[in-house]
Amino acid sequence: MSIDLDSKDTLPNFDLKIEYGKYGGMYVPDPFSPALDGLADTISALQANADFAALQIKALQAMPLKNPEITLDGKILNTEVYKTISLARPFVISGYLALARHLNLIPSFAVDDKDDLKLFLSAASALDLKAYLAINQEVGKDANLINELEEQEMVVDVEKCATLFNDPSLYAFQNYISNISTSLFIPTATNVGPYPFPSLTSSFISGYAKLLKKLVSEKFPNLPDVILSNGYPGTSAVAVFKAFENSDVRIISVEKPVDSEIEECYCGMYARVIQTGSQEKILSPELILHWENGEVDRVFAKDFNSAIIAMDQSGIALIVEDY
Amino acid sequence: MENRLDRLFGQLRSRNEGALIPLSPGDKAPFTKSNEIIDMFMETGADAIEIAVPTRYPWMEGKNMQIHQLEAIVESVKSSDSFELMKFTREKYPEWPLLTINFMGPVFKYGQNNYIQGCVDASIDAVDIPDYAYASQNDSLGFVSDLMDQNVYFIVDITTNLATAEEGTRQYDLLCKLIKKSKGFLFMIAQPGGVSGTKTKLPVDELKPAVDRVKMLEDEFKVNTPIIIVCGISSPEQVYESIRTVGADGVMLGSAISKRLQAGETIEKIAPFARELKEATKG
Repeated sequence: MSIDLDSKDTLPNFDLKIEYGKYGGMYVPDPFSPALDGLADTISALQANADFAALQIKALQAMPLKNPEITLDGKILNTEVYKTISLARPFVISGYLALARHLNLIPSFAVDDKDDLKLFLSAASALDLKAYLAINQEVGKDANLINELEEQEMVVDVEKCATLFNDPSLYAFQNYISNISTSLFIPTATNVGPYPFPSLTSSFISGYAKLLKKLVSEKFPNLPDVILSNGYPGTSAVAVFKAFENSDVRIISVEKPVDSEIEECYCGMYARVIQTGSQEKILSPELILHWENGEVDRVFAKDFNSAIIAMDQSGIALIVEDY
Repeated sequence: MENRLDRLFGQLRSRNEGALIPLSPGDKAPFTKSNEIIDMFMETGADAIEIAVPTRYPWMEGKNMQIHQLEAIVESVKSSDSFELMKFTREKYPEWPLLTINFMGPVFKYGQNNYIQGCVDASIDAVDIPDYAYASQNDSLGFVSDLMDQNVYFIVDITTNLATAEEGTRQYDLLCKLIKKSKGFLFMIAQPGGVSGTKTKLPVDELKPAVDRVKMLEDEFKVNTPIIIVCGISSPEQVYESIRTVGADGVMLGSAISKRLQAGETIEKIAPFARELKEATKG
């Protein structure tokens, strides 16, 4: 990757404040609360810890990262459209793995796609970490991959998603809570896990937010008029918000329409492509808060371009695509 | 009005008998499947029954309970169906202690007030909602206090680790808080993480000191909440061990029966096993 990584770019600000009730995204039984409170205390004490930052940089450098350079994609109506790839997920995964290494815990990770797994394995190998991997049905069909993982001494669980609920995060979390003193759950979205996980994920995202801000200021003399990013599950959108809060940039969280909305959203190019979102969906609590406060527009559109067209945004638009 | 659970444990203690609390999955009206299971438990002597409300994120459930959850999704069983089943069961068995088990997801989806009203309508004696951190968060939603106003108990969970926590730790403080707040009975979880499922061997070495510790603290705090072992009970021998060796007041089980149902065993074939489980609670 061509960008420089130093601790200023990557070090998260551990801000484990609770915005949606103490256990944020997910409720957990009483007996597990002391361990989670203890984890939060340990993490808070890591603020500005150089060893931890070095571990995260090592993890990031080992990942086969896509280039986050901002490039001109073309013009839509009066809008110059630029694109960049979000590194929010690599920052989150590397942050958690660095934490696992630093605290000597075994990562418990849900594999939803091969890209995430690639990132995870490169960083885990660099930090010499073995892990528990809960793998979804689709990825689990690749027998060669599963063999490879087992050869790397990973504990691989493919059966549960294949025969029960096809939701690897459920089993990664089960494994974590069953081994709470020796393992670390690794969610990649800010709406997953109990306190302190949603805000911890969000803290790792803040590392990428710093980098994004730097890339934007190097590319443009003035800030873009609008920045669009994927809304669900909100990881990249949260990064954009963190980078540009309190600025004049209009931040738009773009979600793909689902089922009943399709007709409404696909029936017109200029007027009806976009809806202001009112749909109940489990988004990142942080994103919901900003959305409810009117700081982020949440729209449903089939893609980024149609979102820009329908809004007829003039000036400069930057699209932050999910990894 | 006296809660049926208090009456039940008073009677069981006078007979030197433990409690057997099985779980029944729920289906839709006319409740053909669940009604047959519930009737079987009543006929074979179960002391109370837990009726499950389906959830879409059953992270505390092992394989057999997850299969029930998946069946419920396929059959579109909703919280309202489960409450209908509870009402139906209550009408049939007015004196039988009736509990419901679910997670917070269904409570939010159904609405806290609707949920409480559902409990009142079916005259539910207690709710088992493991992921509501009642004591740690000081009943942040006011949920337990609203339930208690309706004489519906909230069952607290204690793990063996928590039960043996060192004095002066945050774990110990929580343990004391949970014991003081316990009503009806409390669950002693026999599995790390509380994930349901059967076990070939009961971890007596972990359970016995945990139960002894809770009893000691109960004496100190002048509470007398029965202790029920949960997660992993699968045989009459384990029921007997839980009550006579570990010293618990009873057991709760779900997977042991579900496993048989899912293997295609008929209710007629399961009934003698359920009867054996109950027999094992007797001294």
